[in-house]
Amino acid sequence: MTGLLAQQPWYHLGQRDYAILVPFGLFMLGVAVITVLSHRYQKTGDFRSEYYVANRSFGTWVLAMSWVATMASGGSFLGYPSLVYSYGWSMAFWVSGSMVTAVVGLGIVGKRINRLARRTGALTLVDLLRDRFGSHAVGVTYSVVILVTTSVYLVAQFVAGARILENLLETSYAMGLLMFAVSVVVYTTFGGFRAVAWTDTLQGIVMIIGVVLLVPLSLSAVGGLEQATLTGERSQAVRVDPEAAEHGVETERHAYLYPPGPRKHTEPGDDKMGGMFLPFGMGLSLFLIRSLGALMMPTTVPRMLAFRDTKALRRALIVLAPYFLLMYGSSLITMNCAHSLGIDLPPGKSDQAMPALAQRLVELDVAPAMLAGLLIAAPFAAVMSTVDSALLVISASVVRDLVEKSFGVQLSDTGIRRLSYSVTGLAGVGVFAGALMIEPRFLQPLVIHYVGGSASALFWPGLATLFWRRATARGVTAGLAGGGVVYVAAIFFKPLIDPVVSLHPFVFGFVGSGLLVAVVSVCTRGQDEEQLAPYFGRI
Amino acid sequence: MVTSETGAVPPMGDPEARHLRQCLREAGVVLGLWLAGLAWTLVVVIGWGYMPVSERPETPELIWGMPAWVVWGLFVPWFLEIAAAWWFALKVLADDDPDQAVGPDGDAGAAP
Repeated sequence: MTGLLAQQPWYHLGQRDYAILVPFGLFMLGVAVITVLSHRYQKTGDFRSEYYVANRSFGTWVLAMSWVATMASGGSFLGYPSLVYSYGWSMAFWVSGSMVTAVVGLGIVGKRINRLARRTGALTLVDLLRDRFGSHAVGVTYSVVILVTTSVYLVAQFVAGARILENLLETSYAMGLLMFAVSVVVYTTFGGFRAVAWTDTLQGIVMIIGVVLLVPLSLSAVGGLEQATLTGERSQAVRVDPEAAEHGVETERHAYLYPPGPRKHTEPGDDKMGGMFLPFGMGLSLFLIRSLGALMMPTTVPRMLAFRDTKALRRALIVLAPYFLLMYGSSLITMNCAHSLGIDLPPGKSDQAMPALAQRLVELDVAPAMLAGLLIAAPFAAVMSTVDSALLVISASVVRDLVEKSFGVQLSDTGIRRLSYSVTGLAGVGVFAGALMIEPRFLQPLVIHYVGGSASALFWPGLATLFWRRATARGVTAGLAGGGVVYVAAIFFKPLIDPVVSLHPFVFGFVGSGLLVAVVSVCTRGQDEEQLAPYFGRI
Repeated sequence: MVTSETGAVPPMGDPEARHLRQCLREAGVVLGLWLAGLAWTLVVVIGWGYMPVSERPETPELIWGMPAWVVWGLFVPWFLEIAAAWWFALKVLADDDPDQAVGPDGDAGAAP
């Protein structure tokens, strides 16, 4: 697979190259215009409310698209397609939990968080937790969990953005990373939550159009899905887990059509050979992660504080219900066509399968060149929309939750403005450095670790805060810290646990956190009725 | 049903208690949809997807070019869950009563 500008000096662009770069450039221009417009809103009204929740003004489309664009990251548009490219239809079980992601993510906590945030003036979920329990320990613990999990996630997303530009512009990974970092950090820093939400809306639409368009184009190029599946099945000798193939692991019959998928060389540095790629316990864990993880995800929860009313929430759910099917269903179909279209990526480069497919369709004259710009912009939009939200989450955690509320530092509006800009910018620089040093082989496991890790620690403490009168500060703090600790311990002891029961570490963290919230809350003194009344009403 | 430490039920008239009860009702419906999706998927995936290699058919069973377990275990329940989510949004997810509405600055009772 050659890159767009392969074997040409950068200034020598053909007509087709322009046709691809122009729509991509227009998309980036749209992002820039939105940032400038959003920045103007910050000059009027309360800076904090505007910068972190856009004055709670989201309507249906902004809520829906910004929520889903944040949920769907480089993992959805690069990482998951990479797994399907590598392991075929056996990866279908991997995304099955997404069939209920929208209704779980919006339907359980959306209305409740929004109402309580309005009543109490909370600008972040941490505000809500701290205020309900009157406890700085809860606020600090929650902020630390968010900072750790979100930073790991950001590194994976920066890598994804860099790889797209690396492939598109045939440049080095480091240059792709630099270009991606500068563009996203600038618009996030100066535009704030409104710019993030508006650009997410643009990105959410670009994403779904791009990925859905790939389906008929791919099927047309390959001569139908049955043809693609059977061709891929026959050519499975060249489709084995690349690392496993190098180590002589044999492929079983129809390994790419049925779970648990082809046997793999387990982990880098691990001597075990031929482990199953998706054992049943891991598939079940992924159903739980993908369906429950959205509920308290640090990057999506801010949307729950920012929508206008229940009508916007209801309509957003209607819009979002089919979104994940279109997204993952399209990835399943198109990536199972990829090998039949002659896409042969070297080991470690399968995360480029989606942009490579878009370029291949142009080379085959199946897709008009102008369309390729849109198709390549789709995964890029997915990455950008996740990164901008995560950067703001980090900024809000540091400025609002730690500096202002937990440490009690009083700052003027100008001071808050400068500090918010600085923290957002510095977070971007820090993650850039991290992504420069760490280049993971597969993105998807890192994304799953973020969702699983944050859900392990945040799910039960968040739900208990919103719905359970008897929850206490100590119970919630124990659940937050304990969930995180159990999750990390389960990763550490995975080689010992796997032979007994092959579950993702999330399951252990999730169960541990829930038990800790319940047991510690019951064993400690409950809150006074006066404290509970604003949240639960009077007895 | 939410109760206090003493087991008392919040009064019907309290707007916060009413809001909480409605939210719990909605959460219960979502939990039911989640359980239905999980059960359907597991039954199909266990019975049809995770077959021992020796039991896999010589000629794979395909529906519209996809393995049959993918169609029945992933796409069919997914379509049903989409329909259920629309039903939930239109018929279950309720607006707060007018006296429960809260404005953007936290003034309970104001128009949102």
